[in-house]
Amino acid sequence: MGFYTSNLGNALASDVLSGIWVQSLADRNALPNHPSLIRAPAPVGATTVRVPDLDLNGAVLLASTTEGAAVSATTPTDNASDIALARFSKRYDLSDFMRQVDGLGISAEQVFAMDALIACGATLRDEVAQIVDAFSSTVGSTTVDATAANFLEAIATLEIASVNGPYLAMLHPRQWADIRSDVSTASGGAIQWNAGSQEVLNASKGLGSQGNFLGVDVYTSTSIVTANSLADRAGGMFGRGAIAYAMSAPRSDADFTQVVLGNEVLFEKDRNAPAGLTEYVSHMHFGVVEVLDAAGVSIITDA
Amino acid sequence: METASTTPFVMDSDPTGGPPPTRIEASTPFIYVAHPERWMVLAGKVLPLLGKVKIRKGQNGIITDRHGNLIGVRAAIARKEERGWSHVPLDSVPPQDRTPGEPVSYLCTPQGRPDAHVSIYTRLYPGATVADCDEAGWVRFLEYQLTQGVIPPCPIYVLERMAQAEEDKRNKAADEARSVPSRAVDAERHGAALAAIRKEIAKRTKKAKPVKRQTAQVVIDE
Repeated sequence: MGFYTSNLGNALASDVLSGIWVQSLADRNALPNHPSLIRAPAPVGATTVRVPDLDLNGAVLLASTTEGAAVSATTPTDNASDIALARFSKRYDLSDFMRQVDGLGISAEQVFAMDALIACGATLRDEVAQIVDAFSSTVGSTTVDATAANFLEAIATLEIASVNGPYLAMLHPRQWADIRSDVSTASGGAIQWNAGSQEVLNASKGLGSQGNFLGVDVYTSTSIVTANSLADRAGGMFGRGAIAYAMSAPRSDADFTQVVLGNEVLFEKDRNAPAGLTEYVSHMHFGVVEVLDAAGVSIITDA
Repeated sequence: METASTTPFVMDSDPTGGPPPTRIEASTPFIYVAHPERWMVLAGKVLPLLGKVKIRKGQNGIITDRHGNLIGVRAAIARKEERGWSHVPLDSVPPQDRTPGEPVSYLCTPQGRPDAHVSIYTRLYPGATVADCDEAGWVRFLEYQLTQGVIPPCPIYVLERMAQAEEDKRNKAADEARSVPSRAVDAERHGAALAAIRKEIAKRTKKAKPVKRQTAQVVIDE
């Protein structure tokens, strides 16, 4: 991606010397640091991070045993999901001439550093959103708008599967809008005066965290994928154990102009002198995996 | 004084002279997978509700080598199969939906959008972010997977559970329709879904064999 005067003529014309610019429309939000998402530590030297799931802490009950008889040994189940760390990078090239004529301040180093961190959070969100469509449990009906009943059914599915809360719902804005509409207009008068539904109406502004509805934290993102050949959107609701991710901590080298941002992104500046370009490059290594299929439920409703 | 230009005048928005490419979101390739408990009613039929294994770096153990080749795709599919899913091979496409002279695949990339991967049953529009589903084709595709045995039929217990849920929803919608007339449409839809599920149950029960069993004895007291 080049920051050249030829690409950014709109940001250079004299009539934009007001010094303001408007962000283009995009989903820039990062996922909340929510207890339902497991961040697995990625120790130095690991290219793959293993997340085991074990039936300890009361999952296996004591067996009724005859007095004097030896009780047989219990073998815990030992499953695991592996997170392979993969590289994600981005580069911006900034021409010398662009720096000279930039009246908006968009060619400042800090702008690119901030962009790298925001993009890191957004990339992780995008990857997690790719997983919530493929839980084996589903609620909703194809080509039918999402309803508050679907939301309640998803909660029930998780509770019946013994999933610990708090739950996080990741929905496409279309799905959330349908639920909101159902809560406010089509609930037959049963819940429209409920404090929870009022909260939904108040919180529904833009993307990202939408607050808490019926005890579930709700997050919307346009990264939520489609289902049924684009007829539907496939969001999901999950508790702790459904999804895990790992990010390796990058190392910076004192010999180069590079810095580690937020312990997650390696951000560096490179100079391509013959081309008259300053390059800002960011790298991160991470991976996402579904751990416990039953700890999540996909919400598949009309797109 | 006239100056001649060697560069022909070209409209910015239409450099090829053809329609602009679709503006749908970019998406990575994927493999369809089916789970024995994921089913839906579509066009009056009980059909599998497919999931996807995204062939995407960073997801479910998939990485790339230094040449950009994907590693771990088969392992990602195998992990899904370990959890009870079955995968739909890329070339499992009804004969009438295959494009002569091209490799058989249910995935395609729209013209001018090599970064977008959609099923061949997705309808796209030039220059638009809108896309929708060719429902008749999609139903044909799903039925083909069932008739070819790629996806095993819906287990009876799942059908029974679906029927129960649809019956509850129909009854609730019918009750609510007395005060909210628009709910009558929902009641009708759930009723139609229930009929489709019951039809499938009746079809399957006819062929069902009883489960083998043996009687169990309990010693009450010595």
